[in-house]
Amino acid sequence: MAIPMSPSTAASSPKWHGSRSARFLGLLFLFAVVASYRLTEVKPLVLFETEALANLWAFARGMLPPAHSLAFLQTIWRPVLETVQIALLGTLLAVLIGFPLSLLASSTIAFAGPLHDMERRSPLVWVGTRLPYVLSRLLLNVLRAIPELVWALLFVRALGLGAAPGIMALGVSYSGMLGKVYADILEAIDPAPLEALQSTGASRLQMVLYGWLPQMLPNFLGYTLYRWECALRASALMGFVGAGGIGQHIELSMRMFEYHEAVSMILIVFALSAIVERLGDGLRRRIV
Amino acid sequence: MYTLKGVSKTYANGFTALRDLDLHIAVGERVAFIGSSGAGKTTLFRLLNCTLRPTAGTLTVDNVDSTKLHGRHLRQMRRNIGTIYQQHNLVPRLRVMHNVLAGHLGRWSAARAFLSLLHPLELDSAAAALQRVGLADRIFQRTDQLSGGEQQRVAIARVLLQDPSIILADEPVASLDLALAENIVRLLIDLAEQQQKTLLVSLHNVRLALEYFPRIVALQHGRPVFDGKPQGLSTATMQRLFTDTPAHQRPEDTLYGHSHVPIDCRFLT
Amino acid sequence: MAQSPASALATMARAPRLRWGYVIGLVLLALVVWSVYDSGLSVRALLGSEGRRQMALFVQQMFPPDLSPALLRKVWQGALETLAISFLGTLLAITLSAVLLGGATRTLAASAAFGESVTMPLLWRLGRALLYYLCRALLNLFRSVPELIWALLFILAVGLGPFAGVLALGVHTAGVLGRLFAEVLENVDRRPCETLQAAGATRVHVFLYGMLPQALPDLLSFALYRWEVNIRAAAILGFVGAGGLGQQLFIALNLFLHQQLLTLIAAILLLVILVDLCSALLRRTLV
Repeated sequence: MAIPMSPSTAASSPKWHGSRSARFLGLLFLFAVVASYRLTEVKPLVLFETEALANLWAFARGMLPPAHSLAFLQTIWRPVLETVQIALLGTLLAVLIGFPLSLLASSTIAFAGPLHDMERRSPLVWVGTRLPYVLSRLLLNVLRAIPELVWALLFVRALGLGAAPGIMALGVSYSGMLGKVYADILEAIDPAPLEALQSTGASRLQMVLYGWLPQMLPNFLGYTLYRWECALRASALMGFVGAGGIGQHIELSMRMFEYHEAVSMILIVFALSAIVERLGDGLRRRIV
Repeated sequence: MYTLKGVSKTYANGFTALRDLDLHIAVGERVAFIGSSGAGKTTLFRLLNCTLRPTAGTLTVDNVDSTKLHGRHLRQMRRNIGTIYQQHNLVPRLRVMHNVLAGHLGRWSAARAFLSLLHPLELDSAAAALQRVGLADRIFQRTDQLSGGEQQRVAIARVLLQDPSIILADEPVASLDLALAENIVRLLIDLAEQQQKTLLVSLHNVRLALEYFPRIVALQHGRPVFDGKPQGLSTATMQRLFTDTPAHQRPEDTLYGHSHVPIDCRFLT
Repeated sequence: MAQSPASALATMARAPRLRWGYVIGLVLLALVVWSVYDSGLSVRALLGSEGRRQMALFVQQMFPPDLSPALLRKVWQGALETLAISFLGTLLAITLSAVLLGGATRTLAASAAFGESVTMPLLWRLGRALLYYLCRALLNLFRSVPELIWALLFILAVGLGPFAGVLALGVHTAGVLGRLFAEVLENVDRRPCETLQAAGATRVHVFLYGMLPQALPDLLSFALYRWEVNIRAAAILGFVGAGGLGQQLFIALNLFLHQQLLTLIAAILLLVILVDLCSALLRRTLV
């Protein structure tokens, strides 16, 4: 369309009407905020009422100094140990479940890309390579989507109290998280060395061992160690619902208003998680 | 050894790399393939080493139709063809010995392959191969610590171990300086001659091709425009080959379709 | 000349990194074995016929899920409440962390690029550094205490119900987002900011026109990620009394209403998937 150059129509100011989608999103957002406000019965002023503040102050005062008597430490060192064990075994279980699932759930291992160009062209093969992929991705999503505490509740109900339900719950829910991240890492691997391996006549399993695994190792290790650290905190919390470890004692102390004990135990858990984080960093530097 | 009749290859994105190609290669021949990028050399080599299948036409290796090969037979055929790539395509994090020993994978079971990663099996064979390419002292180093030329020699060592009867080298010296390139081409030819292997090399350096190979095949737009002795290649044909380059894609982009970004877990808190 | 296997072994034994890998592997193995033995975890009890029977029995009791209209209505309300808690909690977190960001981001402090002369009085600079460490410490505290414990705390203050849940999520996530946001802002390309400042912009202008536009995709991405995490957390907070589906979960468990339990779990599953999908959609359109 030619721009009219006659002076009479020159300099008409352009009008910015705003983007329609931005307006729509904005309205949607406002609606969500208002709706949520009403649904959650938010009354911000309550927070600053004298009773609320008094309660908080009582808590703050009861917190210090954190319990550190010998008797106290003697009662809790075993549960703390148990928490560490739950975290370790839970993460291990998660890797044992999640890693094989991730091999199935990675499209480049199963069917995608030029590595599979020479495969038999038959509907059976097509389904046979895609079905495990779809199913394993679905399974991983379900395992991830259910919060780990819900898993803990279920396992406690099924297996009774103790460390076992905690380990199972951690193992099952973390396997979903680990499996998905592992599969994503596998799919992002540089395919060129794999093609070279395939050209020597290597089978798919050998290609996984020599091509995919060595390249995924740093990221694999990094994320797994991070998850181990999270597992420590999670296993402490699982105790709240009876799945073993220090969580049970923390909950008890808080319900009995023994805040100084609760704070002590929480501090210990966080000290442990910091130690695990350092250990993890050291491990990563040595092995990678 | 190889008979290609009417072979075409079109990729999923519509790009046709090879058109109606006819070719015959006898056992023990030494052939150099020349042509500009995008002429179809890489695609041809990936058809020859049974990585890709032709979209039309037939390709027979050793009197067997490549598309009829599956599973174990396909692996056996691949084992008998050794490929060297321009980007050497080694696994960077593995030590040199494992990358070289990967030449045995066509022969080894999965269990042996796994055990070898823990403690290398048949280490002497790897050491001997590295000795032939002059890298015996690098056997325990991590592969990504070697220079480009050294890694290419490691790739050759792997092919030595594989001991195939056909060696395909797709632009093996493109990223190396001239002196090194000539050394490697001579190395490949020596190895092929000593054991009467069929050697097919694609080169962008026409001088090397003309000097060392008794047969030249020139590709342009996915078809051969010359096939014969180096003396028969006229300057006019050569000029035509390297001008008039179509809008092409890098073979790697066509094959893999996208640039892959490594996952960074740092932000998952 | 080729090395003999014996000398090859000797060379490998000397390679330091190789040895470390095996050592760490052995230590880990020892830890695992000790854990299994010490915690009294009997693999046989767990996976053997008795354990499997117990789990199978439990699963059997949950089918078919309770789909009565009365329950479904309650579950629907609970789901909406949980969604609201996660949404508002994440919003609160963003607001709270925004407040602390001013202090917690290094580059929003004194720097020549922002028109502050390098020779600011020592007291000022010390004060600014102190503010930085204080804000960072506060954010660390927020993220170190898990949401569940914050929830217990806020229940003490404002009573049972979803409000406590919103506050708990808000405070904890503020700690997480605060640190992530600060990192993003600190790593922004400095040059557009310098250009703006050279044209006479104040610090606020520079932030709004220079830093924020560059950082926005990453900021949004992190916020959406935390929303995905928070919907899972919100479903649980109700267990200690902070509203939502968690509360109904608590009741169903204690009254042994297993079929209701299955319905609730299915609802939580659907909710999480919904939020994950929304987040992916928003990510594609906004980021």
